[in-house]
Amino acid sequence: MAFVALDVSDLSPPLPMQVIIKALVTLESGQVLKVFHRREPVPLYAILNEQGMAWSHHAIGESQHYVYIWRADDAQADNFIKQALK
Amino acid sequence: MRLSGLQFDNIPALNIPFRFYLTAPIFAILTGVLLIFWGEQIWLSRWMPITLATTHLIALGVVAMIMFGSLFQLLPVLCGTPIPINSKGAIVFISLLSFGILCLSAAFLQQLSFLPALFLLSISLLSFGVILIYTLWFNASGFYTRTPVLLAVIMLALTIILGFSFLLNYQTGYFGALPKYWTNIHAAFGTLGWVTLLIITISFQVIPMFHVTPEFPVTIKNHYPFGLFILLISLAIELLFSNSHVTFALIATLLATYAIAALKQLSLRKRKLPDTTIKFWQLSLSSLLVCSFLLVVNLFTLSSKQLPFSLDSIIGVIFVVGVVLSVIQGMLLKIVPFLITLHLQQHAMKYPMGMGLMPDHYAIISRQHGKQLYWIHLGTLVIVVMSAFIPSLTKLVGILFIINWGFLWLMISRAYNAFSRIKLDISNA
Repeated sequence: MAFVALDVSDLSPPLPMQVIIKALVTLESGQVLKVFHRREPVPLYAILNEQGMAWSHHAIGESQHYVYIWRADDAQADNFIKQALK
Repeated sequence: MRLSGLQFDNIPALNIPFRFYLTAPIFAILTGVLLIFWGEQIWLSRWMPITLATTHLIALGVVAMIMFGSLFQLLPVLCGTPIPINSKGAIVFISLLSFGILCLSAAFLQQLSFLPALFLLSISLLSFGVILIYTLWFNASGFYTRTPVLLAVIMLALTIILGFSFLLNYQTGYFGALPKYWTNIHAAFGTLGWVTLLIITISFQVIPMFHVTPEFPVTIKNHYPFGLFILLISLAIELLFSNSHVTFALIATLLATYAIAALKQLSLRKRKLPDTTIKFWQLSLSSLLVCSFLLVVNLFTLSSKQLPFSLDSIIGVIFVVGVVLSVIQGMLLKIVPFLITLHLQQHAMKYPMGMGLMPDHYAIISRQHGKQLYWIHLGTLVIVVMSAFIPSLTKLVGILFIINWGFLWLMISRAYNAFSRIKLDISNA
């Protein structure tokens, strides 16, 4: 299992969404995309739904947001992330 | 896992805001034509037919038109709810509003009765106002935006109601000549209430989002919109009974401190990349500082008539051209490519092979064109202020208005054509 880290906190819209979507295309089974953003990327969730991705959002204060994204059918990643985020 | 706030289903079709954005420049161009032919007269008095016609062409045709279009986009994003008007409804609304504005200007120029304007504007503006207030009251969320936007819309409603009562009075002559008090309140609620309140509220969200700055201080976000609303209501009540120098000074102080706070936020952005929208914001906020200062100066010179020119008029043009038209154009430069990218992204989800065709932000409106627009606009602002002292320059202001807004219309129109082309390419990828 591996985290793929992606920091989009310094990018202005619409770049964060573009960068994340491009990263999703190459996301493999067993990988979890760990996105760091300065705000919760709510519009992204509809895209993740459509793409069959699962995600988990964690905020540390108002301006630090982590979104973990993995393939919804990837049971290994699903278990891994649940353990890691416990 | 949760899906809250903004949903793609809630975002209006791209053609809805763009219809407003493509209509507004036409009214600015029309204003430019009027300024070329009769512009010098605007400096004689705010009651001159040409002054009334041009101010309402700008206030309703340009400023309100763009703000209405933006509200269609912003309400789903900031308040989690769409304005329940579809594309056909938007076309009907824009048509009624546009003809209403044209009839109003023709009536001010004494070419038409006020009745057609009253009919068209009351249908369009009142129905839109009711829908907007209902949506904000019953469906909207968003802690920092719902109530301030609602306050701005209430100010708009009061401005419109006052405006309609003036039109009825013009038509029937029932009340005779109106006391200056009512028109002052109409102007104050329209400019400082509706327009400034909305700009301030929206800036709390769009400056940190688009320019990667820290959030505005909570004290400012929580208190400034309410403070401005309460001060404007106090101003209206005080003006009925006496002068209101203290309230005017408080409003000027609030606007100046907001401008300083917003300029500071912009200076704190993480990546200081060249961005014309930032220049437009800085020009707008600096103009607001100048207006606030001149408002206070005006308090000390009102009664003594010490100045050889109308400071009221200078504050008015700096506010309209410097504060409002700067921020509107800056935001259009940012929001037009953003909306196009957002809609193309949504489309590309159905055609993943076309994802590689997604355009760069600056491929939609180039940096060079943005810069050129800024310099033309800055030139317009300088000349319009100079024309208060040299009225013959007003013709040049008219020409610059036509160039400025014709250029902006072309940019938005090209951007929309690029959207249609790229969308088709993505479908065929």
